[in-house]
Amino acid sequence: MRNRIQELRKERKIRQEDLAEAVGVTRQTIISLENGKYNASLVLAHKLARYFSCTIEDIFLFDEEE
Amino acid sequence: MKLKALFMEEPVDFEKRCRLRILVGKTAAVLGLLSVAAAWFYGNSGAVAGDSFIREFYTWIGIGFMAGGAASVWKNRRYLKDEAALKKRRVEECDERNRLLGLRSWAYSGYAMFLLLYLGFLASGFFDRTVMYVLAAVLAAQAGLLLVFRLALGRVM
Repeated sequence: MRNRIQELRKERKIRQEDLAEAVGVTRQTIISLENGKYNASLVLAHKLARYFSCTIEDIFLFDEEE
Repeated sequence: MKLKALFMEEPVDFEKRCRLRILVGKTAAVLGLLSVAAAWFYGNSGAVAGDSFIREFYTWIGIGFMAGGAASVWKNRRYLKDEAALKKRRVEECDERNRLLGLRSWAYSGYAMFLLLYLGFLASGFFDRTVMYVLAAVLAAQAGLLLVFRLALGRVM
């Protein structure tokens, strides 16, 4: 599943450390999410959506072929 | 409830966890001390005369327990005193990716161990029947535990 975390984070000029602290995960988790190596849980997806003030669908792009 | 807390994504009271670890650390240190004391006592009483292996084994096990327990107490007390260290450690331990990595590592090492035990079981029959029986018992225990955890998880998930 692709996501727009890096794009949204850079738009808002937020550091990975700050995003990680805001949603209660490690910086490595944010890096893995941005690189598409790890898929967030529903709870983390909600936290990210709330942090970026958008919906989960705006951040996580579901590919039908998946 | 306890089972649920173990396996599910429950919110973690990290300070409570630290206090519990301090208690466990202290218990381990006391058990270690008892182990060393018992090794010295029995070593000098003649009950295990000539068996220096047993004496040294329990002495070093005891020293290991004491060192591990003391380290755990020191580390967790530090977390409880230092708010920043506590927060950092909480994030590291409760991070969902770290938890998933831990669970998968245990799962893969469990599969690998099962395979190794099975290979050892097959090979040991050629050399030593006692070893073969021990490995068979360990294999059966692991399979039994797997079934128990499968059923337990099925109830809470």
